[in-house]
Amino acid sequence: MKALASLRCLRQNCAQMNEPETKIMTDVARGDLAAFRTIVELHHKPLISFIARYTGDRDSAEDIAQEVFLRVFKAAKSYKPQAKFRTWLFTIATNLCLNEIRANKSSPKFVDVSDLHEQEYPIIVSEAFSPQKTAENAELSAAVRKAIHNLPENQRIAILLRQYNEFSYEEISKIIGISTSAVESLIQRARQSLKKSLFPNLKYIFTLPKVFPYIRV
Amino acid sequence: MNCDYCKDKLSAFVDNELSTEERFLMEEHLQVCPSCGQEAQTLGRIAVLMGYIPEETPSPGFVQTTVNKAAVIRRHSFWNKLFLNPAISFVRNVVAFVFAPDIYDADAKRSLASYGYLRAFDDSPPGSFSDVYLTVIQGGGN
Repeated sequence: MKALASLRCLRQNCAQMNEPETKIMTDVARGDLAAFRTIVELHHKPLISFIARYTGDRDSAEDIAQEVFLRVFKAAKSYKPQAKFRTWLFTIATNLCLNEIRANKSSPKFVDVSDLHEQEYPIIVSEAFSPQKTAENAELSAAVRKAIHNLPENQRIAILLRQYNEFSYEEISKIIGISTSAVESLIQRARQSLKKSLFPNLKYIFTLPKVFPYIRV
Repeated sequence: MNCDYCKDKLSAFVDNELSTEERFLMEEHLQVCPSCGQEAQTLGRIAVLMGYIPEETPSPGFVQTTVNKAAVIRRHSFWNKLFLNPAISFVRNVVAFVFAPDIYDADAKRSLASYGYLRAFDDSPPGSFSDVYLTVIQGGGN
């Protein structure tokens, strides 16, 4: 059993060593700016989106993302591919976001639904929604954002990392520094909270197609 | 599988994080339990709904600005390594030597005495060569 576990660990380490970022990071460690540009180009979009959703502040999201990349640049020499590069990157981002939120002493800035403008908060476009329901869709989109922003910090990190960045529970556990079962519990509670917050919009939710068509309910 | 256990594991089911065996048991339960089946569909739809919110669009100059800032850091780090760090160490040593020679000297002796090979002479009989050597090194003899 131990041998199997160490074999799995070895295979995982090998996979991390073979990640394209591992090779690029050795170039970054030598001060290669072209390699650094590649890293930024590969990861800036999901990172900025994550930070904006997490802090609820679009304006500072790019500043924080920039700080994350510069920390990566400075720490490139000491980088060891013990985990996936993306996991390391998002760990730095999560810590910086937490610092930012605590420094501002504010839970994420939230705009009241009635103040939202369509340009700022794009409308959800789905086949399930007819074009005539544009206003309702905008309201729904804002409601989802509000529901996410109102989640407790740890639930919000976990659900965002899972939902938008497709991290596995194990990777999330490394980023937040908790056990995998705790991550599972956080995500479960986050979805329950979202369900409660979105309760007024449930009539729209049920217009969405079934996610599990093989379940006959 | 009972409903309580099933509801605890529903998110993991939606995220495809269950083991093959657990997933099989879960699907079996969901086929026969309308309440859990309904809950699974709702959580699944919430996940789908969240997915409709688009990614933020970064400003066009973001990548270039970040690379430029990294270039500044690299330049500073190069000059620091070449001149600033050695200069700081030199100035620190000169200041220590000129203004606090006693402390400087005592520090040097303490670090010498802490070497293992000196401690090896600790049991030397008084008057022997090793004892004299130790006394001279530690600054005890006048």
